[in-house]
Amino acid sequence: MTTTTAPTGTTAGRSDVVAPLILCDNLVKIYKVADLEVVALQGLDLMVDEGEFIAIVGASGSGKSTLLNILGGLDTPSAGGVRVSNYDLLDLTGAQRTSYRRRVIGFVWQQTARNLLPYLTARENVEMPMTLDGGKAKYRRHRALELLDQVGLADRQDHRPSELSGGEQQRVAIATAIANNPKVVFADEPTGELDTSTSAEIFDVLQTVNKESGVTIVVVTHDPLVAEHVNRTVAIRDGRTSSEVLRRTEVDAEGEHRTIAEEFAVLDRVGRLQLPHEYVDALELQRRVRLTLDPDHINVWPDREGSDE
Amino acid sequence: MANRLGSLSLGMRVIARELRSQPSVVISIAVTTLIASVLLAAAPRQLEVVSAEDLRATVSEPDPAQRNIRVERFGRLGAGPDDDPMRSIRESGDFFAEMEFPPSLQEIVSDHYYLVDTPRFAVSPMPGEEPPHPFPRFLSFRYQEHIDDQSMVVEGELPSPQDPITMLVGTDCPLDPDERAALEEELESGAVQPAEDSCRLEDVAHYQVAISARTAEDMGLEVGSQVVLTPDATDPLFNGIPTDALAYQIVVSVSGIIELTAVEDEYWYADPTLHRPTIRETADFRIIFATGLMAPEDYRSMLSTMGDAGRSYVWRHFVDPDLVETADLDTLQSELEPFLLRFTPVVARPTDYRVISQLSDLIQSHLEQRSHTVAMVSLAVAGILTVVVTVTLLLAVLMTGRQRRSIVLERNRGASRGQLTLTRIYEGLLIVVPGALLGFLAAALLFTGTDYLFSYRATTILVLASLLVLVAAGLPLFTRRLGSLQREYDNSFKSSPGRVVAEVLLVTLAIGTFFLLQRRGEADDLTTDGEFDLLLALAPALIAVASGLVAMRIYPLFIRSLGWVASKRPGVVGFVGFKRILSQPSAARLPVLVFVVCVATAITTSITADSIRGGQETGSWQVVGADYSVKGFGPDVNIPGSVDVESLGPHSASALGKTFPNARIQAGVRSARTEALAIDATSYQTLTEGTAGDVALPAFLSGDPGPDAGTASNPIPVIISANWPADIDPSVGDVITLDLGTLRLQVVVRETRDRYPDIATGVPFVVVGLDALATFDQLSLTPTVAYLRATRDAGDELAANLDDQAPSARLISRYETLDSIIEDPFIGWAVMVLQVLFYFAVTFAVVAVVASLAVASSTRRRDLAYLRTLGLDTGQATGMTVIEQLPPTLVGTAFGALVGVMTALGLGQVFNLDVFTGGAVPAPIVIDWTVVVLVAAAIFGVLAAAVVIFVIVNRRVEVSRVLRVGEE
Repeated sequence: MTTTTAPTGTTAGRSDVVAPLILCDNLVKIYKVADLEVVALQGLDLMVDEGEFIAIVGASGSGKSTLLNILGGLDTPSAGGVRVSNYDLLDLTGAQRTSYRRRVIGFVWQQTARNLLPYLTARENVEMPMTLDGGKAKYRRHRALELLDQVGLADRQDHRPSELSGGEQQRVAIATAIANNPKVVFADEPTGELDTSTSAEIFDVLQTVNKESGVTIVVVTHDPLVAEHVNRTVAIRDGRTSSEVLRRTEVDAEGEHRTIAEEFAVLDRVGRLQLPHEYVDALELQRRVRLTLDPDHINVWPDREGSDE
Repeated sequence: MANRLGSLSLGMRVIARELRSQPSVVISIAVTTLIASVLLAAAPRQLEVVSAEDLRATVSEPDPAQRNIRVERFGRLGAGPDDDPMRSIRESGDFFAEMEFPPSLQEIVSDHYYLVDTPRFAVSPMPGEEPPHPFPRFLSFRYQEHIDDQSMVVEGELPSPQDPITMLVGTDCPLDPDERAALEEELESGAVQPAEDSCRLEDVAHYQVAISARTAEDMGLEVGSQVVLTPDATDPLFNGIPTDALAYQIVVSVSGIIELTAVEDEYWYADPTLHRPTIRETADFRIIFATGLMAPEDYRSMLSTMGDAGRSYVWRHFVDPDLVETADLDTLQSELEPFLLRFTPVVARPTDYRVISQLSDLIQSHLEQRSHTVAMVSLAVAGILTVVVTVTLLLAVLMTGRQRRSIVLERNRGASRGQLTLTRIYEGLLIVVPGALLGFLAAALLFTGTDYLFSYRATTILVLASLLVLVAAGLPLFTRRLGSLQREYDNSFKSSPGRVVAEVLLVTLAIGTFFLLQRRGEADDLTTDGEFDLLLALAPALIAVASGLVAMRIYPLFIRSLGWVASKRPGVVGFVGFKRILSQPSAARLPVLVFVVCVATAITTSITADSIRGGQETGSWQVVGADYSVKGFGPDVNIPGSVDVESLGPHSASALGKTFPNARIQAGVRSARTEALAIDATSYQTLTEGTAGDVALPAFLSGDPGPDAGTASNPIPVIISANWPADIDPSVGDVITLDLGTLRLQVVVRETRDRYPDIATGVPFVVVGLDALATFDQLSLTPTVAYLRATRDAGDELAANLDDQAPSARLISRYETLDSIIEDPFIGWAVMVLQVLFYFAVTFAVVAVVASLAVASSTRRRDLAYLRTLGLDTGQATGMTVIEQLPPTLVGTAFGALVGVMTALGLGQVFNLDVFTGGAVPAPIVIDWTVVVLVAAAIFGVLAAAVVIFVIVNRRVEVSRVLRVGEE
């Protein structure tokens, strides 16, 4: 880690002029399980620009899949706001929700078997979203073949999922997800059931799709390989975004391309900031910290006096 | 042992928990078993109750002359001592009963008495008296044992012995009282000696009789009346006696008027002889045959007075229904039949004993009816078992599907096939046995029959069958490769060769059974007669199951065709829906089998019941010939002279007819006895039109036949019976002679029929137009029967008016005939059993709708959830659910209805339904399409409701939870 800075409400390096494709504002999601209330998201903020390829990472139970469900219109937040491509997901009618699912988003799930209908061929699966959207048969067929070709499976178009490997199934799932030219594809642990090399292939495909189609891709994953493929990694902790890692490629003095990753702490709209665990542990920060403002930065000091108390 | 079994299985606690995890399925199977158990245990018990009821009705309701034993002989039995002159008659009867009655018959006879009838005598007024009316009168003497207890004297006194009367006897005696008195005086004083055979004074036997008021009225007699009797030489009891030996006279005086205390009492044996005279009458003429009660003390005197004339001795033995109920019917029947045969010889001397009874026929009829009912109940039992087994199989597949994950887990952890099978047997016992036991106990408490053994067997078969299907449903998961089971979607459950062979065998057996039974029906060799026919009992169930299996095999082809059509059309619903159906394992097609079995059972049952009802209606028309018929009691009543049909009461149509019970036909040199009916064809056709008794009479029976009708040059067209004795076989176009007693006609056969209304089935008949006979203008051709079309409510008024107009005529009601058929214990119960089976099958078809929706619900829910993430809307989700559920329901219901109809049409004749119609007519198979439509409507109505409920529930399910996205 090189530096730790706090972007104020916007993603670092992003233009303020263009409206974000995804905007989560102080999202709260509380599940009720039996008599217990589980707070999955507690004031999460997130902005994703169009064309981005981001990864959302976090520990199990951190709330990342809950976030994905809300973004996919499969779940509704308990509080806060969420907009995707001008769709206010809190205020959708049934028809709007259907339209949103058909045209704005695409999904790639973790379990390969649940990404596709097992009784349809690869081509028929890819055609499915277009069929649901009323696409003409000729167009559907042409588009499906184009997409399968894009993910390298043109020769497997008539195979059923059970006749395809896990990686091939996920590639068909990606082709299916982008069939209707969605604005954004949500992928939930798309490599969770795959080996390392196949996982790399899948991320390559997603990256290719992102670059060639310009579709925004949001991946929820534990896979460390993802870091090499995404522009931004958003870490979620305890139901909030805790940090972001931005990657950019620079040309050094010798003319070689070099990827630089910078981790940022995230400052929410009310000024809350999550300090990285290692920082907290290193300085044994507890309960209260002392802040001092300098002209260009803020200093955080352990509250020694308080500790002594 | 329990521990060993426990270690072999997965443990009862685990099993119980697993069952508790899916209460709806477990309860459904248990309730299904419970209902079936109640029905199966109740059926044989109730059969015993109904059988006892029918037996009691059989031996107590018909005419006493039919159900009891009448022993008779002719001749002269000597008189006993003065204080017991009838002793020899009584002892003779007792001796015969003791020596000849088989033991089983002696056990059921509770009482008996004797009676003796003298020959018939012509009645004349005492010399010099005027007869009360010009009609011939005849009188017989009778003494009947125990009559003192069954009658009372309302005027005068009982007869007693009288001294002879001295009176003028001879053919040339004067009629004038004064002349007679003078001649008597002269003869008495000896002043005149009479020549031989001329008028003379003789002591004439004098007897007293007591007669009924009705007899007194019809005979023109009263207490104190005296008449002279002379032997009626036409009476067979005078056969063989020279004419001159019959030239004697008897004086009879009426000592009193008696009243029979209860004419309907069994004691009277339905014999009205002492109650009222028998009258043979025409419009303007009548002959009266009366019987008077004699004094027993006169028996000895009469023996000498009447010389060699015979007597008719009758001993009436009464059968006690209570004793018959407890008797061994098979033994009784086996002894009774040869006994009756032995004492009912075709040729017998008058002095031989003859036994007259229809008890054997009645018992045989009861046994046959019972056998037919057992066959019908067996059909129902087989139907119930088949429905229950298929429905339980469907529920078991549902249960197994839900246990799939845990079974895979258990196998992963080392559970063997044996352990899993034993576990399933435990599960099955836990689910099935309580329901079956409860049902058995409920039936035992609610139904009082005593056939415990059969009940126990039926319940045991039910438990074993249910257990078998529960285990069979789990076997694929216990035995398939674990790898294939672990896949979420696994449609690799291909039919094993063994299963295919078993299905082919079953289908072959069903086809063979169908054609074998059909040939039996065509050959009229109906094996249900007398004996239980297992093949017949199982046939409909076997055919339904085989058809269901065929439907399951055809079903994918049907779906593939629909899928191909759907793939050519825009829209995702049909395309994905049909693809989804084809992807499902064969177990998911089980609803097709269940629908076929349930619907086929319901439709076959419904058609059978409807056919029986239709047959009963037709049968009542066949028996009566109209809603009401008017006939004479015994001898004919001339309708135009005695009854004014138009003023009888409310009726919408009427027709007259004339019956000739003893007509004959002659074809060439051969002749045969027949019953002939002359009918007013136009009126009768109008009367029956649009009813179950529509006879469709041809036009040739109406109108004037023209000149020389009834001669060879112009034979009268007739309809004749299709069945004649072997030596005569008139056919259409033949000209034959019809002998109506007073008229011989040449008739031409224009049509043959198996039966004709109001003529007993099996009796040869000839039907001629009444118009044709009217041209002959003979009194003997006057109509003797009137047919009326009227409502049930009109019966009382018609009966009352008829009684006023012609007491000797009777009104026969078709409605009462129909009621008696419907209320027959066996018939009523058999129809009820069919109704129960119908509702049972329909109910479980409806249960199958819900179960079939649940069978693939988990994968359907997941697929719909996935498709919702792609933008599937609610309408499309509903459409897909409908697409998935409609075909099996549609195919199963349509196939089931078709199989039900075909089974009923193909095997209806073999079911021998005519025995449930009152036996008069064959029951044609009646298909009530309304019922078919209603059954389909019930099934599709429930399907629609179930789909709506599923879609509503499914909408509430979180897509993410179904797809199990993420880790939270």
